[in-house]
Amino acid sequence: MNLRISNVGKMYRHNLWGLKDFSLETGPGIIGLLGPNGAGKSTLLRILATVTKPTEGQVYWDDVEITKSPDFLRERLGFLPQDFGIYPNLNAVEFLRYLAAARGITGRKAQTRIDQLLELVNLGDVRSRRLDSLSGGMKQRVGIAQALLNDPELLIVDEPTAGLDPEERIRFRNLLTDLSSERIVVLSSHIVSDIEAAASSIAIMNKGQLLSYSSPDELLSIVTGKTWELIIDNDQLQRFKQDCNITSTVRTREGVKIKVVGDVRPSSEAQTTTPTLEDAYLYVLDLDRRNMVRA
Amino acid sequence: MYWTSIEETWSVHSMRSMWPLIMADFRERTRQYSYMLMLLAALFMSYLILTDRYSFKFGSFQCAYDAVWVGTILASASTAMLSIFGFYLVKNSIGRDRKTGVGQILAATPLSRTGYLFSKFASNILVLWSMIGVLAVAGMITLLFRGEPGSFQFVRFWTPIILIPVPAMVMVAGLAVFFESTRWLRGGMGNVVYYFVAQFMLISGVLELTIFDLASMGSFSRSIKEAIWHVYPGVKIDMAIGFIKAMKSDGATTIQPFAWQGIHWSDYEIMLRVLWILIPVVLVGIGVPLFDRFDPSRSRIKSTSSNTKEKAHKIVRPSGPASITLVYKQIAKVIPDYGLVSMIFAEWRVAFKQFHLVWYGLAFLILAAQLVAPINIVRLWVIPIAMIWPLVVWSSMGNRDRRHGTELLLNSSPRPMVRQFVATWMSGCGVALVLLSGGMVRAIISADLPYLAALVVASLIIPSAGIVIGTVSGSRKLFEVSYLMVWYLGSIEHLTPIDILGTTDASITAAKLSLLLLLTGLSLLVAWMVRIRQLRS
Repeated sequence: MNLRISNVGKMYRHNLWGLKDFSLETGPGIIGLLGPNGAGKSTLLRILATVTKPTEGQVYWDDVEITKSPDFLRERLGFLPQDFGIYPNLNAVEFLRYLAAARGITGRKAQTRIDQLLELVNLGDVRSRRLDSLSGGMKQRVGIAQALLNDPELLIVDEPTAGLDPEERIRFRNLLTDLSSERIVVLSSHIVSDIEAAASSIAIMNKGQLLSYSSPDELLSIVTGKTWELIIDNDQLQRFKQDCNITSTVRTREGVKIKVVGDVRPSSEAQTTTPTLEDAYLYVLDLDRRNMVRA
Repeated sequence: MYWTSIEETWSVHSMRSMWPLIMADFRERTRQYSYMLMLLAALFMSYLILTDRYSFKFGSFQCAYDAVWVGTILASASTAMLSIFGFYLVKNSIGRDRKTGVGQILAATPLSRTGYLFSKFASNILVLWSMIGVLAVAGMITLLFRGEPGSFQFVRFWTPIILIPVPAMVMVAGLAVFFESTRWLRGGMGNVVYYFVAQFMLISGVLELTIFDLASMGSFSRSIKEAIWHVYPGVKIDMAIGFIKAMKSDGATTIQPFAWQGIHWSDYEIMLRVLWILIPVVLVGIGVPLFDRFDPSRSRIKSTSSNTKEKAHKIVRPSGPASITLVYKQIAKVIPDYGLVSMIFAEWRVAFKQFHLVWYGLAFLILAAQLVAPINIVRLWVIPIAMIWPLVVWSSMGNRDRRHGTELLLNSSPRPMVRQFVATWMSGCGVALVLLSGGMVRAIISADLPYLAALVVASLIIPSAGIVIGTVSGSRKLFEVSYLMVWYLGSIEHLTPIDILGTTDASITAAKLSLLLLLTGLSLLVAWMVRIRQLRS
């Protein structure tokens, strides 16, 4: 089981690249995609899901080029797009039966699997309700169930926890971890804690390019010794915001406690602190922005 | 309800706050391709009229090509055209807000339901009037270049335009808002209902039902007849509308001129035109309490079949504790088969889910009538009714995924073309075959092979047209409107060349059936190519 992305690019209009020269290879496990809005995450996921054709480059699944043979991957693929619609007149079971048929899954076993998947995503009680009467989070869970209909080897999930309550988020993260032992899961999210909790490797993207691809430990090591905490006056906050990469602010009785990530100690009073994945992510993005300014 | 409590205070302030809403909506819609296409079609129609290729004909009698004539025929013809197509163009204003989510944002503002619906009403009017305006300007320019010397008279040109299409478009705009604010009339059912309403209003003039005469055709023809009889007392006048060249071939010879000063508008007729402005205001007002204002709790929430409910108690749970601790590995494995039949059944399940039990009951009655009614009634009425009954099934083909936003889920499924596309088309053909089966049995019993062939061809061409129009346009409306026109003119009015249901023997020829089969193949080819392109985009 191997996914290889080789120099993939997608041009939308003349010289407007949504994704450029993107290469990556991965095996079973969860690969987390992090990046700001417009970084190209959804474009990449759509290419992997065979919905969008890349302008350049190739994608291989077990050495089969999927841009040429998309059905080879589609038979092994589960995809949860960031935005997806439903058929409002159907209930969850009927909707899943339709999508199951589209994936070649029919018969009594399919029905059993649909019932169990609905139980898995905790929708057993509302399985007979019309989809247009479900909440956003419930619809999202129907989306999660449909992505698992064909027991996929490659599971692509774009912002899967959007709209889920904290309990369901944790449930879903656990499900992903459960799934990742035998399949490749590509997880895109803005929520760093989701990635942090589940991903075995992390790819950080910005402006259509891959900035970093490493394990969470390796990513954390980049910022080890580069995160500081200090308490400042409220008046100083604006100056620090201009000069430093602040990753968090907490108001305390003594003043504003800020956390800064950067190569230089922001002040003599600043104390080094334990870095988080969010610090590393913001550091990598800041580094990229500074490099672009220099260029 | 919050909205109810804050609404219905009409003031200068609320009108001011509505104006940006009206203009934004108007701008949004006039920048759409559908608006441009409709405008081009209307301009083409006005070109045909203004160059006398398509016009009104009163036997061999002809009046001067002047401001009154050009203004009146433009007014009547544009009313007839935009009463049908204009409605379908503007009847998506609230639907778009619903789909894009803008509606829910507006629902959270102090804008009242009345304010919202009337702003939509106003923007509908602006869209339709803008088309009339463009047509009128085209008419004026043509008159300046083609008209007889001294024929350009501003007031005489504009009077019929102000009195015929201007109020008529207000009516169309109001009906569009009323249909959109009423749940049952929002979708395909509403499109069908409106078509018959519009047809009725358009032929009312001919039927002398002045009160319903939207296009003032009755006043127009009466006025023309009076003018002709003034010069040629008691003469017989054959009034017709159509392509002049085709009509001239019927043996008309010398032109007999007559002077026409335009429609003499009586107070009663002017009052009726004013009514076309007041009635839609009332209709929109009636729509206010019916409008759900994007509140999902006011939409129908129902559990689906009791059968499904029963199954809920029969879930095959894996051995182990309750569902909350169910783990993925315990879930049953399945082996895909990628068969076509299962996909066709899946398409049917989705397509038929929208219908109420009554729909099935009437479909059964239509089928039964095909078997027991006299064959001429079956051909003239029962089969045409059977072929309008599942209209929304065919109009959803090729665009359901885009309308509902499921295309990413379906396009990433295996073999989207050879399974989904083919299954969609076959399911549409299957619906037609089932609903025509009674007629087919009757044709077989009476050994009427041409009629049998006509029904088989109809069951292929209709879904094929549905899938190609749906795939290309991405919407249901275009097929619904175009099919309704072909169905009405061909199979109800018996316009033989476009009667695809073989309602009369004259409408069934080998050449026509071959042409329809060719069109079926062509439609499928185009739909296939467009779909592949969509998949690759």
